[in-house]
Amino acid sequence: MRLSVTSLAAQYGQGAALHDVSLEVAEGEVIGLIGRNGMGKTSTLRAVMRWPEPTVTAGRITVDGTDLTRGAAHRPARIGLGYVPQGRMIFGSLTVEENLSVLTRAFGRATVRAGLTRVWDLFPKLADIRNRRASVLSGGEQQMLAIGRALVGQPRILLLDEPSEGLAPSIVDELTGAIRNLANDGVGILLAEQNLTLAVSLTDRLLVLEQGRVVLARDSSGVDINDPTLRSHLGV
Amino acid sequence: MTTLMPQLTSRWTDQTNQNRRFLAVVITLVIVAVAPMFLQQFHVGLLTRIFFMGLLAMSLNVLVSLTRVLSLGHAGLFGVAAYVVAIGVTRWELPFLTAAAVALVVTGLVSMLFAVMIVRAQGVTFVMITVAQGMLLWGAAERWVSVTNGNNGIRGVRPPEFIQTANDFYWAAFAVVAVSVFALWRLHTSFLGTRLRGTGDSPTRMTSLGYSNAWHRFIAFTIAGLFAGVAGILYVGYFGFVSPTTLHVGNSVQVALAVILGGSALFLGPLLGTAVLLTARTWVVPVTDRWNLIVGALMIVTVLFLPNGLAGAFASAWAKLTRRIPRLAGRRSPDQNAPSAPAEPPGSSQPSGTPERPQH
Amino acid sequence: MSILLSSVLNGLSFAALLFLIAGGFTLLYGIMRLLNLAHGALYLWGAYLAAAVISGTGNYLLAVLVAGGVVGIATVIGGVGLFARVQGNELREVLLTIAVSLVLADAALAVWGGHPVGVQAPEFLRGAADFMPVAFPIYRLFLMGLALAVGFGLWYLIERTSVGALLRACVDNRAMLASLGVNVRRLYWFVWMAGGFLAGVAGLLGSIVFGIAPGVDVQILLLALVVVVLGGLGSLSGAALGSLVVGLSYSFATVYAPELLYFIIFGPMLILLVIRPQGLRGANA
Ligand SMILES: Nc1ncnc2c1ncn2[C@@H]1O[C@H](COP(=O)(O)OP(=O)(O)OP(=O)(O)O)[C@@H](O)[C@H]1O
Ligand SMILES: [Mg+2]
Repeated sequence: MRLSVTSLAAQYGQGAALHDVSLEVAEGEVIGLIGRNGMGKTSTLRAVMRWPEPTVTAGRITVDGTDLTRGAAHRPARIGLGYVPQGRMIFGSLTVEENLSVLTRAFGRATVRAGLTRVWDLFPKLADIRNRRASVLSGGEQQMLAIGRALVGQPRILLLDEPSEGLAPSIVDELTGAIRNLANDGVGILLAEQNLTLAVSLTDRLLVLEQGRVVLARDSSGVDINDPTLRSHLGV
Repeated sequence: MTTLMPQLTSRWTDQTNQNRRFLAVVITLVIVAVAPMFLQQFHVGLLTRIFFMGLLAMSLNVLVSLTRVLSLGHAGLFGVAAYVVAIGVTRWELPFLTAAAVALVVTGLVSMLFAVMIVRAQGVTFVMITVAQGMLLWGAAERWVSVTNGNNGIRGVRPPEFIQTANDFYWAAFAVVAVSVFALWRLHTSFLGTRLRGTGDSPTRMTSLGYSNAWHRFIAFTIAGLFAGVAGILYVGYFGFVSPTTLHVGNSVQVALAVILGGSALFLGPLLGTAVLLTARTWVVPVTDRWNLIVGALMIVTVLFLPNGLAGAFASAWAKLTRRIPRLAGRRSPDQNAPSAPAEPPGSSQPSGTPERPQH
Repeated sequence: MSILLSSVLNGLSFAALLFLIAGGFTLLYGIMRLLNLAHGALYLWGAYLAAAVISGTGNYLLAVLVAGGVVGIATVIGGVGLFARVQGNELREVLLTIAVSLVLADAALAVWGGHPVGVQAPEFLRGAADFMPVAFPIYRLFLMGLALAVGFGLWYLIERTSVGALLRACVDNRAMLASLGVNVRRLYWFVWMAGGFLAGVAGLLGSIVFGIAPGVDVQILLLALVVVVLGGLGSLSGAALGSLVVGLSYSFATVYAPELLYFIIFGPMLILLVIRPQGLRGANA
């Protein structure tokens, strides 16, 4: 499966957030989308997931030729995209298990049961607290839950928005391991990150976003973290 | 100050635009003032009603277009003024104008009391509080029989001595409404109006500029209530009668409809909406009992398809026309009543004080 | 003593009816943040439909199904057809519900005429039960039981079932739920349907007490409004609490201070809205 975004432009109300974003993610690939605050990482992922905002004004989003630029908001997930939003956005008034089982009607009982097993395997911690209200979880647990929730529908490509934000290094390591496992299982990953070290270590390819445009693309293997061009784009 | 004709060949400037507008206003006023001499009794009455109901709608528009909230209790304040006049004239045997003065004071006080309740409310909460306020007043009118005469209402309110004929009342109402509309215009274009608009559009910026949103909401609500009171005084003078229906929620709804039908973004939009509604009503009521159904359907169409009301639709049609044939109109863009954005900290770029523009 | 007791009983049964009336209203607000000012008009149609079925067939179960079903389906159609265009714009939504209520109420007047209609309780609920000093209508006792059952049923649906989990997730974060693959629009159809159904059935239940006449829609709407505003918009337990407060104060006010009736009902609501805009049990405004 391959997600293609071509010359995407999008805006909030009258304010343009994306001008020209093109990227490709295939199964088994890990693509990093990096950029400073407000450069359009979240907006890109939201546009792909067909959030109410930003609205797409130009360009195309396709998955294996199926057009996702328009249509109902639940289609991207049904087609095989998983989304872990910035800030986790778990359902606080549901229990941990409900956060996952709430997708039964969308994906069917069998898929969800398999998904639950997979999530408990990936994050054994979550299995222990499955009946706890999600709003009382720690940041790390919430992030695990958000990732787990995105996996329930058995996505082929996973969109992750700054999963390391605000978490302690040890937890970030744990999450990094989990993400690496997913990639090894063949899930395609699009990772929005500000943390360059993390992005370089996880991804095959890096795209740099600036003011809603992809301004630079590099293979991660060749990237030197101290590369001045890169650092100037990231403002570090 | 008004040199009228010489500009025809010169370039249009702001000054000439202003002159033209001034001229248009004067001509309109003169036409409206002499109209009763050429009209039938029936039409004089209709126009009179359009005056004071239009003023009511314009007073509501202070809230809708500036502070961006919708009141569904506005007929309540209108009714308070009408009741106070009615009680003053029939019970206390005050002269009409004295009763009217008392009514304005009372309406102002009630408005201020209600305003205190709404300063923190926005959106749906605001709507509900104002519904409750309206119902409270309606309940008082209906239940407080010893004072209000309950559902029978109060009859026999005579206008002042110097008003003998329907035409007299027309002129009096016209004068009062014209002055009120002028005052509202000054409000809309003043710095206070800009600040009120700021409260509606960008309350956080108002706060960061050191202005109190609560205070400005309070002022807007009180002003709106006072002008509703003026309209209520004219109302009871015209009909000589007031009953609980006057301040019922249904009446508030019709006023709100007049505002959105006419278009809240344009200063005179609510007046236009009222004129359309009242005129249509005189046509519809003799033919069918289904006036409310028509009102509802009109409202649905307005909300779904005319976000800026009839005035907005005309303005955008006019804009299209003038863009296509610039000479015909002699102006570049449609008339924007909006004054420029409120005082902003240097460097902030987003415009904040502009009302919704008509769609193009 | 007996006046006091009958006031309390009246208040409780009125509270039960208020809760049943406010159910559909609070559901639409709780899940969709829609302030449905057409609620009273939906109630009115439910009442007229039920009355027609009862006078035609005498079958109360059929009346419930017709009143709830027709009003529910009409609500889904209206909701999906009209509200999609203005979704997210609170004020336009409110205006639209007002417009719809004007149309519905006037259409009811055109179809059913302006004469008041009385609706009798079903045979087995007529008559009165004896509580030493006072006799109390059985139907009103039935209302209390029904309110408890409906309250518990709704609570169970929302807190303990998978549909309930979906609804709670939708309230938490609608966009997120959709981007996980849930067809939120279809979920909304369900909510529209349930809200309309409850309003329609409330029409039958209420008309047995109040009768049916033009203008009832506005009164019902206002009562529902007061109840849910007092309790906290969209909160089920809040609606129950609000019903109790309004039911009891209404009942006592009609006996002891009829002139102040509306002040006693709307006054507390106003004061509460000022000091605690989210209502007694609402989480946020
Ligand atoms: N809800 C919104 N309404 C209006 N503008 C927004 C909204 N969300 C984001 N923007 C604007 O869109 C631009 C891109 O924001 P976006 O959130 O995509 O950036 P980002 O790269 O994800 O930043 P961060 O690293 O802080 O998460 C920014 O200029 C931001 O101000
Ligand atoms: Mg972001």
